[in-house]
Amino acid sequence: MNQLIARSPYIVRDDMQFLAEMNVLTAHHLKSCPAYSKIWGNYKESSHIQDLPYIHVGLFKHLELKTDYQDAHFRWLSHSSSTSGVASKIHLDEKSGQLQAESVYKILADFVGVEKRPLLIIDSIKSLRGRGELSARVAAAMSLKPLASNIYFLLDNPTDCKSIKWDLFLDILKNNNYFIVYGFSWILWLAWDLNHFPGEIIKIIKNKTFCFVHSGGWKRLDTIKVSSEKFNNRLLCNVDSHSKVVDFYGLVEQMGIVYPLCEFNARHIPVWADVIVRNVYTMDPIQEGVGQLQLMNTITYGAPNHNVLTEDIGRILNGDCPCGRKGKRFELFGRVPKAETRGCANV
Amino acid sequence: MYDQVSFFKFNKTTILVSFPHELNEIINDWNELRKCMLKKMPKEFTRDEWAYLITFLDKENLNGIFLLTFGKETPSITGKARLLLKPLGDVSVWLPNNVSMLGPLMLVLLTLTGNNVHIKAGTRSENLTVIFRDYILNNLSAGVLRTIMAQSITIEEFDRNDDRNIAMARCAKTRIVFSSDETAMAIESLPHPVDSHGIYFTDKQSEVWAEIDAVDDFAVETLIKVFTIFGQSGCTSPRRVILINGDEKSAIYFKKRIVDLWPRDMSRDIPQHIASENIMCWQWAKALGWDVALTYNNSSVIAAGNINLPECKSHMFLPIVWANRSDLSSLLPANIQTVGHCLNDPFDISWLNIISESNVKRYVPIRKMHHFGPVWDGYAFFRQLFEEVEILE
Repeated sequence: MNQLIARSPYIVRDDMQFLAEMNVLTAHHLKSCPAYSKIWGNYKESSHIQDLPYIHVGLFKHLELKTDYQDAHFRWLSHSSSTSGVASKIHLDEKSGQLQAESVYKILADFVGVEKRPLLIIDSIKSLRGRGELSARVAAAMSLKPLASNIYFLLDNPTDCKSIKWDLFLDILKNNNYFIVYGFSWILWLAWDLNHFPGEIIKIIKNKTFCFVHSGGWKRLDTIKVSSEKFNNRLLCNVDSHSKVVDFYGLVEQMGIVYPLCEFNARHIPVWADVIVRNVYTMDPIQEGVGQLQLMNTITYGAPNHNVLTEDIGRILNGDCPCGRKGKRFELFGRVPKAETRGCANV
Repeated sequence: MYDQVSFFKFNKTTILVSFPHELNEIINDWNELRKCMLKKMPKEFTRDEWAYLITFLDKENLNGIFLLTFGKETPSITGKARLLLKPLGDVSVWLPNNVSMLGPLMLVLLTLTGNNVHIKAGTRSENLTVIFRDYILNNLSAGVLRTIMAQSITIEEFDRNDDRNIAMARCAKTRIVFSSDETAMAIESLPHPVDSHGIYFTDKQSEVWAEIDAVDDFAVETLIKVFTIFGQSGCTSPRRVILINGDEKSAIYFKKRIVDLWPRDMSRDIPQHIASENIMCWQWAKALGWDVALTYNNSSVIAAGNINLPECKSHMFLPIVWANRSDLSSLLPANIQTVGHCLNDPFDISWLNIISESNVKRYVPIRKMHHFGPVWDGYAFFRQLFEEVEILE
């Protein structure tokens, strides 16, 4: 069990080993998660990855999905606020937490580098407060923790993107040369606006190297017509030329696995994870073409979010990626298109 | 002054209804528009919505509104005149956000009252009322209806905090509100004339009562058709089907019949996000203990189970449950509106007794669950848009 996580993330895939680990993990969840067992009670071990039983991501908003296995230690109950206003309830056990930290470290190290640097989070420490609650954006930020030498929250007010604590920022800048900056895409765009930066900060960041990491999607940026090129230009225009921007995709319902965008617009899948594209109307797997994304991983024990049908659409990319990473990769297009539902009642 | 008077025979007396326009001219104009509607449809409407609107505008249906409200139209006074009705005055209408056909249908009905009308549409949804009004203005030649649309009807979009809400309440003799209870109370609290009145259509739900031996394939297909129009999102949509004196076996059988008869030749697929939501709902229902199945193309979730099982709040979830006839009244939700029936003898007095002892506002065949008319939610609201002048010898 868990041999794959010990490997490098982007090497030639071992689908047989992946299937074997997923079958064991599925049996584990069927045994100890009552809700999962009710849904997939008749399931027998699979000989195809595509037949492994999944959970729709929306179900975490409605059901308690917890795999309470022997000797399990649950660290958090994570309520992640989302755009729908309904919170997902994510149980995270200690064992999975360790594996997920290892997973994120390996994935992001491949894109960001292994050197530990100050992690500047464009959010407020207040977002962390609240018993057992973890917002989606803080969960994403904390996934970078293994790459951080220190963590700083730069916003004073979590709802005001312009409330940067300039004194703190200046102090950190003076004492370091390399940084990771994380923010939700939308927040990073609003916060990193040089028009509002003090002159002293603008002057000092010119010689500093930043790795900007962001996630959260383009929906809100699209509404104000911000392309990825425009976004990257804003971040990179006044900093050291070795700086870069990494956009990653991940679900709070599947912490530990993130999918950074490579320089050739592909999202690479680590060998301990897999992605299947399904036809929205039939759930049949699609080898080529666009469909609903299903994300799997072998490192989740506390809840059956090892195998999640998302509400996002994308397609598998064939052939080798020019970036040199091996294995499977995909292209993400965003959320399943939402049409207006008409009626006159509140559902 | 109102120059046009129509006469309606009610028992042995005559009701006079005075209009600012010739009523038959308005109905004829609607009929003219109907011919155009058969050829050209705005893209914002679905085919089902447009077809329903065309059916609603049928001359017989529009005349039926008066037949139901005032009696049979006659060319002159027959017998004694007892009542003179005239338009009460300005009507303000608040429509909800996700409303489908309610706006256009209200628009049609209100043109038949002779009142000035102010409609507030939601800001977060497609405004079919404006689209239909514009369609009328663009496709109907000069005539009474066009004049009414241009001069007597205003439609605006604004939110709940806009000052125009106050203006609408202040000017109206009648406030018609389709909304949640909270919004209705907020509108009722706005300053309004002492001699005005409010008609509040608040959140309601509906269900189907069926006897398993009264359900043939046609009835199942009708249920499917009615359910697919709004899913769970309409106040007239069946939220559940109750099999009278049924059991688990009959509920599972009924579920299977729906799944088997679900049409495979729908002209369009359901929205992708609904298909996805249905996968979620299917899993949710299974976890809650329902015997559940997805219909063709993941277009809905049909579940059979005990009436006490928790329900899934999902757009296309249709639960089939069973209950004893004697328990029906106690099982009805407090905000029940329509019971769609599929019964061997729906007019048996025992059924009507159950209805009379309940809060049910409409008791209709399944196929008529969504039909809108001059009586709604227990209000003869169309008649209430007229002032009644008593005439005695």
